[in-house]
Amino acid sequence: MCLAVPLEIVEIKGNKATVERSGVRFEADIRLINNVKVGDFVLVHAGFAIQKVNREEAQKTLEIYDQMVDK
Amino acid sequence: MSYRVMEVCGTHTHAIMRYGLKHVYKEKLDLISGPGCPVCVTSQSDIDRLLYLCQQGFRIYSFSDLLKVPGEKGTLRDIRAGGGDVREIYNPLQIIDDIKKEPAEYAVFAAIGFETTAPLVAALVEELVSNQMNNIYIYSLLKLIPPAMDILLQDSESRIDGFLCPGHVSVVIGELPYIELSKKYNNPFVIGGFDEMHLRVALDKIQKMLETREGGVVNAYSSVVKREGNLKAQELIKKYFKQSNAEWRGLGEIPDSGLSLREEYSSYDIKSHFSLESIRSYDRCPCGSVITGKIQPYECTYFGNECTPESPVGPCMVSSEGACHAFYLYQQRR
Amino acid sequence: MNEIITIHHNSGRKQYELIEFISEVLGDRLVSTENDGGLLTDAVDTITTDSFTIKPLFFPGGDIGSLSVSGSVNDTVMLGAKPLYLSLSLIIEEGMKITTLKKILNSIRKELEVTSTYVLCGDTKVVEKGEVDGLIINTTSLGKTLKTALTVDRIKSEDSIIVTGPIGLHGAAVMACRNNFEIDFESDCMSLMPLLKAIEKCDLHIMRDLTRGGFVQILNELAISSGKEIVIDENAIQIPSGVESVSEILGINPLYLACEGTAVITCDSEVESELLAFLKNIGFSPFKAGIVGKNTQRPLVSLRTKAGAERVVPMLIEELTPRIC
Repeated sequence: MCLAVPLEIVEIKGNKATVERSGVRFEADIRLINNVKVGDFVLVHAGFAIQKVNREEAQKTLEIYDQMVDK
Repeated sequence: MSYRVMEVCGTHTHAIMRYGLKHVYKEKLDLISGPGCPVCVTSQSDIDRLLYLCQQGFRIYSFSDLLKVPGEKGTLRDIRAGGGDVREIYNPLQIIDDIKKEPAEYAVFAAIGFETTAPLVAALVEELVSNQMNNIYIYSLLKLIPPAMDILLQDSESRIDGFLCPGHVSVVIGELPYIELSKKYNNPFVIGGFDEMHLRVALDKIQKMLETREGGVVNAYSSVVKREGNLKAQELIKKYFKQSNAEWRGLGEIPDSGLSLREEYSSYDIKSHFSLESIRSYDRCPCGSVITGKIQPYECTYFGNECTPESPVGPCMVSSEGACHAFYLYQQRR
Repeated sequence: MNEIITIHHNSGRKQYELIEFISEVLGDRLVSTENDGGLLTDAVDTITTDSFTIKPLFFPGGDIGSLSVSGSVNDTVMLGAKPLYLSLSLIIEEGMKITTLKKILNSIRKELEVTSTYVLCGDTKVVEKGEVDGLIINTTSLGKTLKTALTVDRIKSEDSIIVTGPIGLHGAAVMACRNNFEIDFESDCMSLMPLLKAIEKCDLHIMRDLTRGGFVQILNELAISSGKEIVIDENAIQIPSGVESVSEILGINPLYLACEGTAVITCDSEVESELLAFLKNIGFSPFKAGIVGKNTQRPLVSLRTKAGAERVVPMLIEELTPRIC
C-alpha cells in the first residue's frame, strides 16, 4: 500500500495536525512521528502522517536528476 | 540485452504507466510488475471468508479497492448490492466514528495492506483497546514485502535481475531488510519514489548497477526513507502484531510474511472466534504466474477472452494497476 | 407546514399543503398547479431528461436543487437548443426537514431565473425511510434548436477538441466534502446558457457536457459514436491545483472526475482560434485538448503523455473509488 502525499503542517492539536496542500486541508493523525512543528512537510497515507519530508535530501535527488537530464 | 527489473508496489506500477517509463527504458530494462498490490495478492479463499462473515450478519469495513475482487461466489460489492452491510473507508479510524454513528452488533475490518498500512491498523487496535470497544474485529490480511522478495529471488522461473523497492513501505521499514536480502543475493535493490524525477533517478541507478554487475542497496528516496525507517511506526506494529505465515495469491503460503494479532489481543482477532479454514477455494486463473513474472498477461488463456476489464476473472485484471489490466490497454493501442 | 415531511404528505390535505408550499417557494417560475399538466405556448423540438441523486445534497458551489436545473438545461444546450420549459419530479425520503426542502427549492428557483426557464409540470412523492437516500430529483427539459441540432454525425476527422474550462472541479468538490477536507475551490456547477451565443456566432460541430465519468468518459463516448480515434495531449489539459491535490490524496485519476458546468466542443481547425477567443470573451477559460483522428474499427481515446509515450485511456469500468495502493 503505497499511496502517500506530502502536505504541510499548518496547525497541531495533540495527536492531530491540520495539513494542507494547494488549498486542500484536512486533519491527519501524527502519532507515528516525533518532533513535528508547524511548517514541516509530512508524508500522509490514508489520513496518517508516516514521515517528515527532509527537504535537503529532496534537493540532493533533484540535483542528481538535473545532471542526468543534462547528459 | 535487457535486464529484468521488478517493482513490488501498486503505486510504482501506476506511476511507470503514467510516465510511459516502460517505453523510455525499453532498450535496457524490462520492467515487470510484481506482487505489489495488496488487492492482487489477497487469496480467493480470504475473499470467500469475508463474504461468509457478511452473510453471517457481520458488517464489513474495507478499503475501496478490495470490493471488486472476485471470490468463488462473487465480490464484496455484489454482496452489498444484495443487501450485505459492506462499508468503504479511507482511514481505518473512520470505522470507530462510523460505528458510533450507526451502531452494528458485530463488525469486521478487512485489513489489507503492506508495511505502509500496518501501523495504521495497529493505531486502530490501540484505539479499540483504549476505548474498550469489543464489537469490532480485525481480519488481518497484512503482508510483508521482503519475505515475498526473497521467495521471488529464489525462483529461477521469475528471472529477476534487480528490484525497484517500494517507496512508502521503505518509509516504515527502512533499508535494513533489503540489506539482509543483499547479503543473500547479489542483486541491486534500489528504493525509489513516485514522481517522474524520483523514478528516473532510481531506474537509472538500477541500470548502471546491472551494467557494472554491482549488487547492494541504494536509497534513491532519501527525502522520506531513513536507513532505520520509522522506528515509532515499527514499535507500534510490534506492540499489537506478530509475524505469521500468510497466504499470497499466486505465491502460496510464505512463512513469516504476514502479520497477525498478538495473543494478548486475540480477542480482537476474528480468526480466534471463528474457524474459517474450511472455507477454501482455488484460483481459477494463473494471475499468480503473472505477478511473479513467469508469464506475460497474453500468455494466460483467459486473457482477452473470458477475462477483460469489464468482466475480470482474476485480480490482475480487476485493479487498474494490475499487470493484465495495464497490458490489455497497451495491447489495444497497436 | 410541519417541520418534517412525512408519508402523510402523499395524499389528502397534507399533499395539498406540500404542493402549495412548493408553489410558493418557486413563485412565478412555476407556471401553474391548477391543471394536471402544463400547456406549451412556444414551439419546441428537443427533449432531454436527467435524474439527480447526489450525495451530499449540499456541496461547495451548489446543491441538488441548482444541479437539477443546470444539469437538464445543459443537456438541451448541448443539442444546440435553447431550453424553455422543465418538468420537476421530487421523490423525498420521509423525515426530511422542511427547512432543507425549502433551501433546495430556493436554489431551483434561482437557477430557473438565471436560465429564464419555467417549470410547467411536476410531481412529488414521499417514500418511507430508507427507500431513497434523502432525495431524488428528475427534470425533463424542452427546448428549441437555434440552427440545426448538434448531432454526433457532425464530428469530422481533424476537428479540434476544445474544453470550455478546467476539469474535475465538481467531482473533486464532492469527494472532498465526503472526506471532510476543507477546500478553497468550488464545484463548477452552472448553466451553460452562454454557449448558445457560441452556437449562433461560430461554426461548431458538436458539444457535450462533461458529467459522470468526466472528461475521459465523454471523449470515449464521442469516439465510439463517431467511429473515430481521439488523441489528447496531457500537457494541454488544465486541472486546477486543488483538484490535483484532492485526486492525489485520495488516489483518483482527475481525468475521470465529474464536471457540471464544463463542456467539450469540436470544430474545424480553421475555426479554432475564433472559437477560443469567443469563449474567452463570454467568460470561459477554454483550452484546446487535442484532435479527432481517423475513422477506425477500434475507436479509442489516446493520451499523449508528457514523456512522449501514448497510452489508451478507456472508459471507467465502474464507479470511481479512491485507491489506497
